[in-house]
Amino acid sequence: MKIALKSLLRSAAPAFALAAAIGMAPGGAHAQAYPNQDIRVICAFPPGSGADVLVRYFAEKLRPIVNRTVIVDNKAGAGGNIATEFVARAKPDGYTIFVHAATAVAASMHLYKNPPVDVGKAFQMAATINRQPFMLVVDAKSPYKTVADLTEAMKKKGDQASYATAAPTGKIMGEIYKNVTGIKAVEVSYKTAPDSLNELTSGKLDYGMHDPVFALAQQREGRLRILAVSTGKRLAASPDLPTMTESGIPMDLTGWWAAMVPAGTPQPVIDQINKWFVQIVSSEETKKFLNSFGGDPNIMPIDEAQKQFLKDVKDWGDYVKLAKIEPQG
Amino acid sequence: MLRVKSPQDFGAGIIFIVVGAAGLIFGRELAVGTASRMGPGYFPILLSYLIIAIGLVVSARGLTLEGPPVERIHLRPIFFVLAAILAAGFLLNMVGLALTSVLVAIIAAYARSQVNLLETILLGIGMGIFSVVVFVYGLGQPLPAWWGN
Amino acid sequence: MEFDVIQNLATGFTAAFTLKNLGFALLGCFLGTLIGVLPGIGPIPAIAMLLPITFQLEPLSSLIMLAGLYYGAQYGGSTTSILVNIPGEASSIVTCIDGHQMAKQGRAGAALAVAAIGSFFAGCVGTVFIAAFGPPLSALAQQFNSPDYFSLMVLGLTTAVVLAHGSVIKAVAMVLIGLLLGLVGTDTNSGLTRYTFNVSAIWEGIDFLPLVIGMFGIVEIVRNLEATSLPRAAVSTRFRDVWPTRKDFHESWRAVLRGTGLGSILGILPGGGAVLASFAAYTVEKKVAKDPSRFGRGAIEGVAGPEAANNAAAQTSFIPLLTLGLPSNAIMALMMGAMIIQGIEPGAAVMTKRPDLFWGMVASMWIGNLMLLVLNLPLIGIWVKLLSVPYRLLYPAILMFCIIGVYGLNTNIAQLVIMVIFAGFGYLLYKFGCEPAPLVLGFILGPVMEENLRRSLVISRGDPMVFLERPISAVLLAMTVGVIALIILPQFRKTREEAFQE
Repeated sequence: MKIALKSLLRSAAPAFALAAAIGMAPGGAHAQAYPNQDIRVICAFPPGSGADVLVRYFAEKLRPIVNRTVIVDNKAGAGGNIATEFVARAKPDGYTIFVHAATAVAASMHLYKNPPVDVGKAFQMAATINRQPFMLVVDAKSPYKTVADLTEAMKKKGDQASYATAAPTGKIMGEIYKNVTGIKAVEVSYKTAPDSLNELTSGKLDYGMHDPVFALAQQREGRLRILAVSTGKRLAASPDLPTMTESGIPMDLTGWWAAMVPAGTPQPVIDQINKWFVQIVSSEETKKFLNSFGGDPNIMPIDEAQKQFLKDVKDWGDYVKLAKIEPQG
Repeated sequence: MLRVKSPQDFGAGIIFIVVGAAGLIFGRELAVGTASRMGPGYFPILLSYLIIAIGLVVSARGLTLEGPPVERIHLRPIFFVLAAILAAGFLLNMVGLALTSVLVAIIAAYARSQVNLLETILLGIGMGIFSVVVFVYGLGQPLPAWWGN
Repeated sequence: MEFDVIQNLATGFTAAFTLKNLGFALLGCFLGTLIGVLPGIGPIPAIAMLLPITFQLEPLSSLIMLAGLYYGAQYGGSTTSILVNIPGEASSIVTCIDGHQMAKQGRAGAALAVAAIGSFFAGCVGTVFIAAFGPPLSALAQQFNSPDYFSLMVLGLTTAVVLAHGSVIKAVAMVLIGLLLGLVGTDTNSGLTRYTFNVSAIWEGIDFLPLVIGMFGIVEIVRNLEATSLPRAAVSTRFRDVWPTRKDFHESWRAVLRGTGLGSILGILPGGGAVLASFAAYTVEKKVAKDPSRFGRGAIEGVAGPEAANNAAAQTSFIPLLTLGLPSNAIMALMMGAMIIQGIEPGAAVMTKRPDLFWGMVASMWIGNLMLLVLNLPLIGIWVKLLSVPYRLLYPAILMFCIIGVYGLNTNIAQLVIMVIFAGFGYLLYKFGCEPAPLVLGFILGPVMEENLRRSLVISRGDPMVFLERPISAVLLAMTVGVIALIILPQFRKTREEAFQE
């Protein structure tokens, strides 16, 4: 029944196009055609987590622009793989939009033994949202003011040094740092960055590689000091923070969020989604919001974003090998 | 000849042994490590052995100390209740929340031996309307209301 | 100092106490209760579902409505626990034990009223606690390192054994099985997955909701259907029968005081502290009672103490969030999310930069608690009346809500399959006389315990003495030994008495 109705509509499509062409339909035919049903924004985190807030912010801002119901669908679990798989298998019609870290989607190819989908082929970037760093933090009471101070002290401490990580990006940042400087610090893994705070401030841990939301909040509270960021270039959100590269440890670990759709989504629909997100991302309010997450708003042309995504897929293969992360599954 | 004096204890002991054994069998590939440098397998294997040990004690006690009998297991209620849940899982996306509610009501009703089909269907319709209005329209939950998607 | 507290609270109340804000508090409380009371929808999903409603409001109103939602959803969860024995979150498992027994004896009204009044009292104390001791207490919480957390979890798990009113050794086994189940998923320390059988739905561990709804809610439905006559409590909705008697008040006020104290302190500890509160309160009540055998059979202190502890902890668990910017549990993470959406970054900075907001929020907690009382005391009659609906009509609806609640987690059928597995497992355990509450506590605390144990040893480079060298950890372990003594001694006495009788 449903199928019959759809094919009927499809066969009627040329007639609609004709009607539009001769000026019977107001506005552009495409703008009319999409969106004509509810839009589902997929979030890979449970409701209420920090990242969920980011997704919901965009869903909230999308609602008045598209004038349709925008539902946030939390498909949490398996490190985001459940959501990734769901979106990859969704109909490529623009009604399922994945708002997530494109870097994480790229990394999933290498973090799991059996990645659910070949993400490079399955996903199309529709719009970019931000770029954000990971941060090297130390206790605010510690004497280390620069990465060089820290490195020197860690060399003296040898295998008695310890550091905290709580995410794959942090692990990789930690490995690169150790590889380049030759220090022998022992990694201590945490489930979340806040779990490591007490041990960082009690001197049990010498440093940590943490996400910007946690690092910035704790620096503001005067408990931690950020020594460097993992991005290749400094961030507009925190221009005073040097990069790891400037400190002699070359790396460019930039996390970036994007609105993604399944490959095969029609170009006009992608363009439409891009236009919406560009409008939201370029607002002053969004800039402030994204800065509070430690990142900069980031607007990139669609094809460049896709290229960056494919490059990330490749790079993460090397990172995972470098950090000796055992793929899961 | 051994006689089971406390079927409840004996049965519980057997369950514990089975759970502990499952923990050992499915955890056999996990690296155990040492007490000062524990691997991912250390804690689960230790737990599994402890559970088996308690299982042995409890089942041995079931053979020596008098205890209450096991209540009769009625297959009908548990079967239909679990069937209703699984059916809902398969149906929700296919036929939507409204129709699923009716079907859950009907399957669940057969967990009892007397079924009033008309009353059950009316109840199912009521549940369907309530669920759709509250969860889909009221709270915007990502559940298909009608016919699925 | 004291003057400051009063002045600060005055600032807060002036900002919060407008007719409009009171209206939002009431509305939040009402909606929170309505959704939270649906069986199978615990407070966390209830709050998550209702959260978007608050986004449209201005910051303070939104926070006030949020507080209303929070307390409403929590109390709604307690109501479900008492009426139909289905806990929506870890802390209401304890409420089920004696609360539902009371309901079966036709005293649901008294249980609900004591829960509401106890919660209100604890809420008031908790609010003052935050205002007066927030910053110094958060400094204490900051002293907790991995070894201390490990020892705290050991203490918590030991008390879990007291929850069971049957065999101690079976309760120990249930705790251990819970610990084992809690380890399913990705191991934080090594990054490897354990016991996941390639099922992606459990890569990050088994979710709490399908496990607990399966083992409690579904098993409860099946048990009721197995009974020869369907349960239909002798229900009376006359005020006299709904309201607790003088004897009830007399029996429960001390429990409320103790619960409030315990909850206020445990609530501050991030990660598992608040969960321990209600369990610990129950343990204490059972231990100080003249006749511990009443517990598990409808002892009103068994409802009053844990409910007060739960609410006090719910209150003080805001302390790490408000003073350190650290969310200590899933609900606090939700709250933090809502605050960030409103442009407020929780942390000590809020206190100095936006005192009206900070103290307004503290005041709104009290208002939320007040609304809870105002709203729920009159509603008790209605809740109790719900029990007079024939069970043949009630159980399909309960089942459907459980399904929606669990499926709605991430709209994944795997969650329902997990629920079915645990319902089957729980049914079997019930038939063999094993109680599920200790298992659930082990399930929640297990991963925290293992993680901190291994982390402590990594940091100490394998030296187990860290657990005794750190004062906090040493004290907690000493308390554990005390609790074990309390558990074992009466047991010994009993077996000896039995031996003498033979």
